[in-house]
Amino acid sequence: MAWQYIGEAMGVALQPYNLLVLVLSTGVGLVMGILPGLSATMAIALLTGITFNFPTQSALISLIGVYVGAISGGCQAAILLNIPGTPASAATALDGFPLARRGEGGLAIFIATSASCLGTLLSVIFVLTLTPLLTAFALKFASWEFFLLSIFGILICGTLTAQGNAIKGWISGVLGLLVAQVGLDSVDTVARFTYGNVNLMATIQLIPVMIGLFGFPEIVKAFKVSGSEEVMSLSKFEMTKGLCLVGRHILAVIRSAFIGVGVGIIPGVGEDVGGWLSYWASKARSKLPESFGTGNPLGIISAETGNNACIGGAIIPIMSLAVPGSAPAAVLLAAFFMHGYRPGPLLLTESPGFVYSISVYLVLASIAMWALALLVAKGTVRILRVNKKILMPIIFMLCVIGSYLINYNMFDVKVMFVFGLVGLAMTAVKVPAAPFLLGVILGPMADSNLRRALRLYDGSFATMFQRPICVFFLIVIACMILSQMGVFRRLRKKKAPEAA
Amino acid sequence: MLPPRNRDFVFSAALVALGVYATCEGFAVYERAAAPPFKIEAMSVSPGLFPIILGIVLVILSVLLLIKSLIPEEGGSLAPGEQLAALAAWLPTLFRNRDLINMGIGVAIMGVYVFGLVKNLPYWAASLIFVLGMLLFLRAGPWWKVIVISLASVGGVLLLFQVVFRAALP
Repeated sequence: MAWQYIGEAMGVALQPYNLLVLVLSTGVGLVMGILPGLSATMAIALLTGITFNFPTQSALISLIGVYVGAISGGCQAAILLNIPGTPASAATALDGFPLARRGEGGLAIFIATSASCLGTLLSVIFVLTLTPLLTAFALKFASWEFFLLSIFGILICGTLTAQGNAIKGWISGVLGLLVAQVGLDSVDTVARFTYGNVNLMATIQLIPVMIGLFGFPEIVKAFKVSGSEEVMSLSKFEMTKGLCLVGRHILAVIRSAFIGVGVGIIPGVGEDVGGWLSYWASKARSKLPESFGTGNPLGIISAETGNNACIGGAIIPIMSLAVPGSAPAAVLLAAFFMHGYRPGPLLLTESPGFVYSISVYLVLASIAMWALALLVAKGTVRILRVNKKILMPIIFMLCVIGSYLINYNMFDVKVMFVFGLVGLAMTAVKVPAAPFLLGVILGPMADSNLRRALRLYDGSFATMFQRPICVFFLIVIACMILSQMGVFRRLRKKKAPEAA
Repeated sequence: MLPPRNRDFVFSAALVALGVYATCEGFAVYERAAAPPFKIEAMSVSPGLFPIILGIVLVILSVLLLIKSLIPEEGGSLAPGEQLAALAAWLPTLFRNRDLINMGIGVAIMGVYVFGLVKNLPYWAASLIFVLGMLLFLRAGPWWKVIVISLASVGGVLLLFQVVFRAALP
């Protein structure tokens, strides 16, 4: 049966129109990834609005293509400019730029692109094997479990994205949850935070919020009066040498793929963390850790495999739990809903071929990305020299169209602008936007499941403590909060003098 | 720029106010839901419950951040009075920061485009004025180049969306 679905998906993807869509969207993703300031999230959010009228499969192919392209494209700017095109490639710059300075920019781009391709391909194996397992587990979930899962997702996302100040991450998540309360409530249709506005009663749409939060601040940042950066020139690819290097470090590739998928599965934690953790793991195991940061190819290979493996990892919880693994995956989740799919535990029953279709599209997109990235690399230096002051007003025009096309409603454009200001303010006070977005996505799930559970059990919270999965979530949540409050650290400190 | 500790102080103070407002609004939702035609009188199943919980959690987290911003550390201001004084001293510098002024004017132009131009003019005209205005403001190149880029970008977007994708633009 699985092979039949894979065959069908291949048949759809290899139709000339869809093939063209795949190549174009992967190319667009690559260019957006190459350009610092245009993130993968922004690329997918923009494309979601634009592909609204596409046939469903073509839209899915284009979204997967742009996702893979954008995450992979970031390495080229990191290597040639020392500025990661997307946050996912931040770790790549550490060794990529020194290698480019030594006149081996072509080799660095070749191994980074090959490692990216391998990372995505390996993650597909996990998509195919882990999604059914996680779905089977998710079928045991009832209202309390879904409520706690959403709270856990926001907490862990807030903890891991707030760079040392978890409170800011959690605040961001709570703000997102509050935004999700706007509109008629899903259980009793009572208006909340609507102030008599008909548009607000229909709830705040996700895509304009995302475009605003992630796109707007980057556009505004380009208005700063700042100097231009030095772009390295591109040397030859040295494909044989590059392939030998990747082959020699194949164990690091596999390890980084594992790490990337694992990080990807964690709700809201993105590709950047996957890249950093994989880089750190390779450095920690290396016999020459001091060579990292000076142009060690292993650093590039680990970081790029790790961040690209996150793509598959982040898609796994979307399909099994309807919880996105990263910010770009959150946009993908909204796009899946928009195109008539219902991600979650019932997805495999309702649309059994969906997982295989996505897996096939991921494989084809990563292959297309590999070929395109090496082609595009010749023009990367020129792309990186494009004046951002010319590019950003045009991007804003696309943001307006992307927000408008969701409902053909100008109100969504205004929502995009308002949340753009919110995103700008959050950037200024160093509050991460990813937990906010996750809050907006998971808000309806948390609210409806909490009230459904309380309605089922006569308003009693006690039943929550009688369910094993709930107890597990509660313990993990409590530990996370206590550890961030420094309780465990203080306990260890207390014990240390006693032992002495 | 305002030091991070002062920024956190201002941010958390604003969030405390927002949290209190969300809690009050949650109670207002509860009262509306308890009245006819909904008659949902139990708080545990009221649509106001989750906003109330979120409001309270927001207040707690914001107070924690506020306290954190007041804890002494090298170089930061401490007491609320000092925090406010630092803020007052920082505000006038806002108007001398070229980056912030540029960003502010850019946001204002974007606001005029979203709230004024697109609403009152045909999309192509609004977008042309916006791109032209923005490129001129940012001094993105000589005037002839700015005009060519504006015409090409707006024309390209119209061609792509209206002709290729057949989407109705604003």
